[in-house]
Amino acid sequence: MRKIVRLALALAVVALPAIGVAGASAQDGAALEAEVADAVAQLTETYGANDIEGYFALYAPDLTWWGPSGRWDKAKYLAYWTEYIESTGGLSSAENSDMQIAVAPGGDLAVASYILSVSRANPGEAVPTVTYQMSPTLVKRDGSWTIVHLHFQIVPEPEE
Amino acid sequence: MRRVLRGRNLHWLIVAAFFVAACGGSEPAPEPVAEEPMPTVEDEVRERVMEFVSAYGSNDVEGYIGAFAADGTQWWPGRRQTRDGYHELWSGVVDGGGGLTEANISDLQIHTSPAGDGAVTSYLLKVKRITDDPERVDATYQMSATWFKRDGEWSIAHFHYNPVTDAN
Repeated sequence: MRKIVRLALALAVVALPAIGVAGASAQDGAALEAEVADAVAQLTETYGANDIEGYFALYAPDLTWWGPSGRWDKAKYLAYWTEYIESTGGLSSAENSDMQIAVAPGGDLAVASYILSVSRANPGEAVPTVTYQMSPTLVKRDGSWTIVHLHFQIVPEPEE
Repeated sequence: MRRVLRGRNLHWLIVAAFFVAACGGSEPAPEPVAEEPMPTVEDEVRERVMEFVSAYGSNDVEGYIGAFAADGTQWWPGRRQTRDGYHELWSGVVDGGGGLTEANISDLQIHTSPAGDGAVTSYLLKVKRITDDPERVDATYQMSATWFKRDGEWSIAHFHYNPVTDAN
């Protein structure tokens, strides 16, 4: 009986560090997801506030981009968005919903997918609100999350 | 033993050693073997994308759908999709005599993570569908797939595509 108890204790001693590591990993994963969620929230906040500098600071210089007009890069997007805000007043609001985040095992690449709903400040003849399906992929460089790829599209009208 | 290596025996041993050395020396030096460069993470991901697209274009349903992580997310035009939902849908298409005759990739761009177990790929995909409707044969898509390497295997953690239309 003593042998069995000793064996059980020995197994528990061996297993405890592994359980601890698994628990720590789950905590790390949650913390990383929270970091990514913060970065994406900041993206939408600066976007909706027409804060060009703050918004574009979240994009990597080597950004790749799939949008309604095909491939763009950071420079082209910056030029377009700056001109848009100057000529129209930009947006009056921007909100995220249905957020889903996944972080790679190494903890330095993540992808977020969500719905982004925006209202134009001065829509004129354009539609006042637009809804997008968003997929930014972020990489952690020098301790900060930066967007290396963005794929977005306007939510299409449901097919009849 | 000492006695054996004296005299004639020793003489012949020296001659034989000289002969072997001379023969060996007369052979051309072996060419240095060029070592294959180690594949980079980007190489691994590119190869995986090519396999993925090849499986799609050849209507290999299991090979294609097997690239998607079970817990992965997908954005399809206007809605979310799951791996199981896609599996059911694509199996039905292929089993019903549909599918593709071609799938060609272009403009592939890849970012990899510093840790080497994450990547995002974006590319243009042109396909030819098996259909009786000639207007539906050709289609072009903007594609983005984010890949994670888990237990040594790359799989798609998130997938986003939209068709390229005149409205784009």
